[in-house]
Amino acid sequence: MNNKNKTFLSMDRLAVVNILFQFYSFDYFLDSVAKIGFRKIDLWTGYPHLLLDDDYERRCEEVRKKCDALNLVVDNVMPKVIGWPLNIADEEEKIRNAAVSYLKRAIDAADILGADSLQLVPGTGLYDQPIEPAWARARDSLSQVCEYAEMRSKSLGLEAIQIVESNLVGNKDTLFRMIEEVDSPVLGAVVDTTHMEKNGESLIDYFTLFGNRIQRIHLNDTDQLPWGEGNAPLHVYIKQMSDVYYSGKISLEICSKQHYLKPYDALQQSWNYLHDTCESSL
Amino acid sequence: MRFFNRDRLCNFNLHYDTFYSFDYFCECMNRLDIRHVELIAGHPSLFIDHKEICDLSGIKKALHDNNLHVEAISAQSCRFRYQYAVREPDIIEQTFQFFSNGIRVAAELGANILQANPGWSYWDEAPIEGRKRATDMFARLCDVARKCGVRIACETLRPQESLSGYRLQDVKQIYDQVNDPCFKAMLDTCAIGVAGETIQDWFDVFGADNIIHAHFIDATPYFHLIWGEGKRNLGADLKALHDNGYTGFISQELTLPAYYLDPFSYDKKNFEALGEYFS
Repeated sequence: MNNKNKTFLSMDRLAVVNILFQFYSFDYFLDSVAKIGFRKIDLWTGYPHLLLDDDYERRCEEVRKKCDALNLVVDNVMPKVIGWPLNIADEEEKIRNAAVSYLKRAIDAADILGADSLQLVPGTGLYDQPIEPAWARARDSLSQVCEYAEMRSKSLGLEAIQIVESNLVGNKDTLFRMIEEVDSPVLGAVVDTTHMEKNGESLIDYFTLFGNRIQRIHLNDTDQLPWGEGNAPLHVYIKQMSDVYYSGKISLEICSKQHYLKPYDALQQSWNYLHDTCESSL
Repeated sequence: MRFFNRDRLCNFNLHYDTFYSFDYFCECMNRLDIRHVELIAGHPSLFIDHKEICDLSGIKKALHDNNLHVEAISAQSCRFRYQYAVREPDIIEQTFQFFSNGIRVAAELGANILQANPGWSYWDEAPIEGRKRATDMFARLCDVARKCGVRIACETLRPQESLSGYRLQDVKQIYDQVNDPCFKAMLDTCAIGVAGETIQDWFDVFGADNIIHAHFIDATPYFHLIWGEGKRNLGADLKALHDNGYTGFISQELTLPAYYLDPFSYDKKNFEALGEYFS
């Protein structure tokens, strides 16, 4: 790897998703991130860290102050919707409207938190029902959210997720189709290297198809394990990003349940592995 | 040996709920000749939150059309924002209302059990603190349950899910402190196995009168598997229930992602394996 690659992935670019720390307080998460040396967070609005209830403004202001005090930046907001009654493709209009309202509130929250982007998921249809109506509902909901994001000058990234979470957008082709159909200038793609590998896809596939519409990469080891415990080819990913001068954002999203018990160790291990991989390439 | 009548079998719709309609679940149970069900309340098939309960008429019709009886309701306590050991003062009341709605749904659908757990607590506090808060929550919920003719059945979770409620002694502590006839225990064979406990251990501590429900599944000891895919001994486990005079339902709670994609096929295999021991 040449010097271009070495400077390409500076640790300062990486944003840490707080899902790993969901059994610990938010303060513990922030302290851990700062202590290990990361500078950015990708803020998942899940319990118990940040609930976007009616008093979300107060909560977000508190979060912003804590981040400022630790010299941390909220790089992105990841609204927690999977597993909650917030499915943008739900058959019931009431549920869809609640989901869209929640996402709009998340956009407002991003403003207070100082983040200029949010990450979305496509929702899901029911597996014993035809897909196309659910697809249309998801598309319409996303259009509403995009319209609001455009007014608030926020960019949105849609992530293709796995079949156990959605039957609508699960690979590069369905992701491309949805983004094209929504057709909003604020909507781009989020690529998760774990999901990508499971699909037998590559970053080159995504760069070729989406170009500069890739808003964020979840740079993850196999099965979203801490880096070093899987077998994802980090060197290859870095080279591929470097070759296209990828200028979008990068998050580290460790979602391995066994590591939720000792998240600090898992995050420190990932830092060490990522840092050493870059350094060893000289 | 056939230990129980087939009418004691119950199926939990968790592995259908995310990706299949409630009607589909009911039709599948009818096809399998399973008459007793346990339902997840929260989303998507049966919506409740801390403010409201959905219109249950469609649910009731599907149950009636397929000759199904609801034996337990599990108000979603593992995926959403509601947990029995909630700490944040401004969320405690919402949480109480959510689980109260779960009790009301149980009563409305003819079930007399709210299935529960000790909550997740927080990893940056002493586990006893979580159990204290869970105790307070259950004490309040028992008043609601009593008025609705419902009892609360509390199982353990795994250490990956809760550090304050993964052992028999944790539930026993809460049980003793709640000290209410509406609060009982239940078995989860996965959680029990992970904790290194046996079914007999639970009956030795609680007795058959106080174990009113069971998530009775295969496990490695991890995972909630169909019988035959784990390492538990089905015959021995059923014998333990039988010999201790267990009178509750034997409910199947399956959570492997593969099951979510084709739940009916896995249910068919599961009930075939179980069927050898039921008359």
